[in-house]
Amino acid sequence: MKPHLTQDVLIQYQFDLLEEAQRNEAATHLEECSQCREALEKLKQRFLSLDVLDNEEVLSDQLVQKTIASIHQSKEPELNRRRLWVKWGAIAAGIVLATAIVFIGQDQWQEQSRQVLNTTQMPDDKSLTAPEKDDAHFSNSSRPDMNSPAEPNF
Amino acid sequence: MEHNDRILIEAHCNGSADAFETIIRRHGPAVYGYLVKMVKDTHKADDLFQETFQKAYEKIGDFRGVDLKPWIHAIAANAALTGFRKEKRKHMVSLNSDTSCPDGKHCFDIDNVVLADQKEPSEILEMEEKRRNVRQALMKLPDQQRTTLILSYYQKLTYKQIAEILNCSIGTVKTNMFRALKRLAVLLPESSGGQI
Ligand SMILES: [Zn+2]
Repeated sequence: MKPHLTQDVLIQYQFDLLEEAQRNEAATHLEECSQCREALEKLKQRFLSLDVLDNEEVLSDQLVQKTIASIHQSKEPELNRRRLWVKWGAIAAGIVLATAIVFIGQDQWQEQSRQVLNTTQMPDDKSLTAPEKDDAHFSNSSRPDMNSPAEPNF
Repeated sequence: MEHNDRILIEAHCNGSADAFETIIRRHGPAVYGYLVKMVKDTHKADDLFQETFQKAYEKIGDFRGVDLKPWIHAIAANAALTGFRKEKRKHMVSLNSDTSCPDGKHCFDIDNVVLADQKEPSEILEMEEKRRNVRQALMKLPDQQRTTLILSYYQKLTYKQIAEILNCSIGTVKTNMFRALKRLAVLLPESSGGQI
């Protein structure tokens, strides 16, 4: 008979750490040798004491709730950041839009004024002041020929 | 089980508010069991547990597998081992020799232990003594050996799964497992004590 199995081999055998050939060899020896079977049994008993830690600590519902709460908490800043981006984005877009409207309005008015100045003869200097767009103003004036191109119906 | 995991993940990704809680309740007990055995005190295990599931929550959208158990254990193992490395750098103290709680409070105080079933006080004390011995034996193992042993023995993960979890070869897992067992064969109490 081959020499007895060492403790190392017994550990490796018990915890499936041997290569197949070595494993088969050890299994054959164990079948034939009561001394090694006994040694293996002792080893198993010793490792069985590890089982005292099975279900040692139970996960409490409190910890589950705490974990869920902490996940929701960590989600909040991200949501707030997103909300902040949307808010400032909207404000910025508003400013850009307002500026664009003002510039376009100014351009249109300047264009109108230029055209008026180019196409009419001003009887006095008053027409150069007060950029009134008000139709009533013009209608009340003593210059009915001063038609604005932008307001062709007048 | 694995199939249900996939359903839960999809429900979570589709906006189900309860799906992730169900995931925590399904895998939480095993993850907590792993962490409690890995670290010395329950406070730390609680913190690591929260950290694990927060990370899982962030990353679960990227998970493409069907079985969450090894994946969540990988996050837990990473959290625990990273914690040890940080702690070691900070204090330069070996965890292996010390069995007291760093914050000086109770750790595995018997008051803090939720027993699986009701026993007589003397039996509880005896059981707690056995548990303390086994915990001390586990804590004497180097971190990599301890995590390998816990993942294999208690969490019933295969050596292949453990290799994936710890990002190493199966050979390394088997070597660490063997070294852990060899050491435990000396450290564990001789009496069986396995019957709870
Ligand atoms: Zn023999």
